[in-house]
Amino acid sequence: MLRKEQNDLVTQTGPGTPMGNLFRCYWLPALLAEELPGNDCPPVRIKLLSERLVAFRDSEGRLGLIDEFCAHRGVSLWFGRNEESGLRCPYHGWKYDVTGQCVDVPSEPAENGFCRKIKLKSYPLVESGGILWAYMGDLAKQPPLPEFEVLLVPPEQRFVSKRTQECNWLQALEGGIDSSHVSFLHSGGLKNDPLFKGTKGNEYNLKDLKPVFEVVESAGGLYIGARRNAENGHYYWRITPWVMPNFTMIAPRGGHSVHGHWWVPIDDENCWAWSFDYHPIRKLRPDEIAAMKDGKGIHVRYVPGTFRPEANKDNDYLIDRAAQKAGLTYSGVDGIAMQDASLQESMGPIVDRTKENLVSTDNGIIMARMRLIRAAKALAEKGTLPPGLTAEHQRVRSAAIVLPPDQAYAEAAKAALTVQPGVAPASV
Amino acid sequence: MPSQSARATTAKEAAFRVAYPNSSPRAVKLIALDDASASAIGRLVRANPRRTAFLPPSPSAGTSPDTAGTVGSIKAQLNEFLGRTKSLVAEIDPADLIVLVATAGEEVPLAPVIGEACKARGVPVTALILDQDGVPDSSLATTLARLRPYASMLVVARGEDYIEEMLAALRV
Repeated sequence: MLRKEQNDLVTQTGPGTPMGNLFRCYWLPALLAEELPGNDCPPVRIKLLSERLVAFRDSEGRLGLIDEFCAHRGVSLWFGRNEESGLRCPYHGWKYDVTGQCVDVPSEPAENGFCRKIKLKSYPLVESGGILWAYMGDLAKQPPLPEFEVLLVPPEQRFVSKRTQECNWLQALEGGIDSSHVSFLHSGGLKNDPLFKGTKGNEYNLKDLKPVFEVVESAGGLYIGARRNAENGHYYWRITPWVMPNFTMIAPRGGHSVHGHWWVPIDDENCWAWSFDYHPIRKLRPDEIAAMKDGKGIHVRYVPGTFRPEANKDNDYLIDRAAQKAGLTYSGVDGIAMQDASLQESMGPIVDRTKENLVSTDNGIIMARMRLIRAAKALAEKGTLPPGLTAEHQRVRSAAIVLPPDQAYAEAAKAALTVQPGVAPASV
Repeated sequence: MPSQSARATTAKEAAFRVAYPNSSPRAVKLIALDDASASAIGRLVRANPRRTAFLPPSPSAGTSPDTAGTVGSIKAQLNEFLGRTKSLVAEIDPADLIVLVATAGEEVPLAPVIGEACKARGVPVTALILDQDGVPDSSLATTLARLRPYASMLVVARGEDYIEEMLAALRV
């Protein structure tokens, strides 16, 4: 459980809040690069950390992320004309460049320089790994661009998607580090999903339904190891890294691609679930990409024209009680992503953690909350920058590995848990 | 007409959740397995007297390590401990959870004794290894190997303050 003030601290990410300030220390995934496909393409609305913004790519290909609303009368610049190196408000023609600087106010004489006195809030927006990354913090403390492995592999080796989730970001993140739910909620996926099925590791998963967990604090976050029995007294380990504040990876299965998430607050009651698959040493096959686009693995199918999942709260997540009864799915909801999202959204927009009853297997969640709260307080009180900002912390991998019983996985799997260019992931 | 899920998951609806205490307090006992963890637990109990702890004898009790070395001191520790097994059982029996606290790199010879006692009584064990100084991985493995057979959850934390954080989160 958390006390109310702790729950408020860790769930509120708007401007001026301690957790909001923490998030503003990091580059955050804001848009898929394909959402701004070319120069002078239509602008895109986006809300991040409770701030409404508009993104555009100008005539020279420069990326802009600025306050959504025109400084004149508050019109949304989503209606703007993206032309001649700026975004022009269609109401009275005020025009802004990618830095938010007003460069033209047609009703005013150019020589009086009025437009130079108008500037919208803007944030750096940079493309890396097929994603447009936003930095919403103090420019003097802007960190280097993220170096997660998925961003570093060639484009044909990765697939990235995003979906909206209608609950606070922490509910979604906590699902990502809660390894103990997998044997229940996702048990159907191990048998049926084309991106998971057919591996030796799945056999260990399904044979040993009582995994034992080891949580190891790391410099950048945590490792959560789930241990199951393998042959000859050895253990089958599935190791999930969490990098502060919002990056998680799922342990791989056989020769399948590896996957993971970023969980990004939209506002306090909604978040973006970014989902990625990549393979460190090979291209993704057409059948794999087709399955990902079809909502398999950790991805979803969409309501056309949106990033809202096709199965959503308005249609009760297309719950199929017959499939539940037949054991095809554990909860009746299809697909890994929506199995998680449906339950996390059912907790309400911001779950009241004063009422929960955690148990010992929730230690990963307990420690993650502690690290987040402490980092937010250290930033607020002493200006201490949080962990997870450097390549050293970001160059992690998940791993699935069989080890002798007396080895610490953090030691035995040290190489497997670190990015090694050109080396296949440790996977069973 | 909105779906059931759409209606049920609004902030407004959250206000209608039944308000009542849905759990009873849990009895969690802390047991230190070495001197450093005993000191950490001692500080925790002094700061929060509601916490209950059982501190087995120090490894340095009885035979001096200077003359008998490690083996001698472990023997002395176990001998001393045997005289107190009754009190250990009395501590374990009513507990909902035992938290074994150890310092990374320590051999924790009492872990099997206490672990077996817990196993025999069906009391689950969480093991918490404090690795404040970042000991070499091979030393950490020694402590892990001792605790793994008995712990259903094992945590390697960098600071002793995690003990209190965990207990509070578990509503102890």
